[in-house]
Amino acid sequence: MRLLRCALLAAALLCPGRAAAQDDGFRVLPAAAGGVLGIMGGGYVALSIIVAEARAGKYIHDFDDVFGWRSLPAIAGASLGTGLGIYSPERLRRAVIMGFAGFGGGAMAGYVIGRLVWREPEGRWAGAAIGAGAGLAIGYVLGALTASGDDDITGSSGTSAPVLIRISVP
Amino acid sequence: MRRGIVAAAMVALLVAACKPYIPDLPPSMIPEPAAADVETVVFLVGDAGHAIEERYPVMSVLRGDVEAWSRQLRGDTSVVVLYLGDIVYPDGMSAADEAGYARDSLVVQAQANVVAGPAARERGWAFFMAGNHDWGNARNTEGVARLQELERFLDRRRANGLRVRLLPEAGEPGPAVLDIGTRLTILLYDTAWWLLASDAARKARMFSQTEDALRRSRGRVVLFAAHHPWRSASPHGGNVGLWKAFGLRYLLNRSGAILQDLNSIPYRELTRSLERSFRVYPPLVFAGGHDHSLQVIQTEGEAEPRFAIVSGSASKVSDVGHIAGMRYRLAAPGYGKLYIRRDGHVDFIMVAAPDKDQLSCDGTGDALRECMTRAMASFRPRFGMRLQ
Repeated sequence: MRLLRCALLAAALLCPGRAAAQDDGFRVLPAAAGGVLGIMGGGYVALSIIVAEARAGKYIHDFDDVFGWRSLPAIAGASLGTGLGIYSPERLRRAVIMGFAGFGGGAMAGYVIGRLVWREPEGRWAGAAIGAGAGLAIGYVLGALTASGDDDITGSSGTSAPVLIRISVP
Repeated sequence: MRRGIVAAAMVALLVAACKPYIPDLPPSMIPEPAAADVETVVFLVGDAGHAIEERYPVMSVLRGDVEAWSRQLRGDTSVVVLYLGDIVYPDGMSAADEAGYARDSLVVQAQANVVAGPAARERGWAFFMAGNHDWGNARNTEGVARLQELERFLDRRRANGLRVRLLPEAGEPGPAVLDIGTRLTILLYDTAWWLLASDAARKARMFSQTEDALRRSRGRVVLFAAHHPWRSASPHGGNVGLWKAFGLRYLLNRSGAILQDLNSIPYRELTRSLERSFRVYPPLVFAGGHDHSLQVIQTEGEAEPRFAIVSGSASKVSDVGHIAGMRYRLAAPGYGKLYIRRDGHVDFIMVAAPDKDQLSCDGTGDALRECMTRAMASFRPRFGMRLQ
């Protein structure tokens, strides 16, 4: 929860305060959804990086080591997802769909490749984890870039107003 | 509303379906042997790195047990306490000029005091093995420096009359070979060295020395002891809930990405190499800690120890699931006792509290004393079997 609040706060700070006033009410929900999905996706990308590092001989010692700088992709994912939700819900929607597709496809391809490359039983799991992370990241970026962009906030939207997001920080 | 209820029921069903099945194990108990029938008692205690004497009842129970057996047995080293690593949490022994030194000293002193009773000073020995936390999870010289602090602390206690020692010595992989009495050989290893500071030449030497020791020990009871266990049904052995940390912990374990898990590539390499050594003469028992539970697993492989014992719950407790060959499991504070009998048999008894609530006591004054008394009274033999 604390991470989510931090991510939302970071996204709110990072996103330009010039989000158009025309549909603020509509974009709070996509922004929040983008933030949550961004944390999950970023968290998964972080995991696949850890697994890839382990295959290269650089291990984490314990699960607690996942937190700290290794969780940066989760923060970045939250910021990106929130920003995309505000900037263009259509791009976010397409990024999420393609991210999921990439995740599934990458996991399956990675499973097969991992089984071929590494002989021990952990190899196929490692391959699936790395493939899923890579597929998710690629799918997400492609989805965001290839969407129609009809609802993008553009510079010509006229008046600017801040998006009001209430975040209580303990 | 109805759709919501159906969806919730389906989610609950899915969660229940994914929960691993843990079968009940048949109870097993043997009476504690008479002192006249016993040549040596070996106490197996692991992961005591938080166990300050005043708050962790297991240490007082252990101390009483060690003293009682030291009083009953004859012979110079008839009672042996093996601390199976993670002597000091979280980062090993601090240097004398560091802030954590006072607290770390209390923790190690509590473990050394187990052989401080009048009889235990005469007949007992406590051997401390390094765990990954004693290395501070740091590689090479940085980790060895932590171990040297611990070694110096124990050496000072030994100079004052307590029979305590770090084995293998700081930065050495082992085996440290102890021939105890007429029947028992103990091989001590620093398995954290393997994960944190190993090199090819010393690895090869370690295995050749192991094979020599096993060859020399034919006909004797061989006990392997190290921090990392041979097998385990707790988190480091792969018993991780699918839903824990949104599945991340589960996936990291399954993909062998955590160095300290038993399926990491370096640890797997160690067990495979040991299996080759065990073809010379397999040990009866491989005792380890690392996972914070009590387990007895009977193995069936030709090149495996016949029993894998996990005793790592002296100051932390974690869940334990099921694994093939499992004879006993308990997630509670406790320790194991191995009896080398004069008739050649080997008995094993696990002493433990009923559950993890007796791990430690908070509070001060009468409340603390009352909690400690109640918790200590709850420790009793929970499992026993003849191993040989």
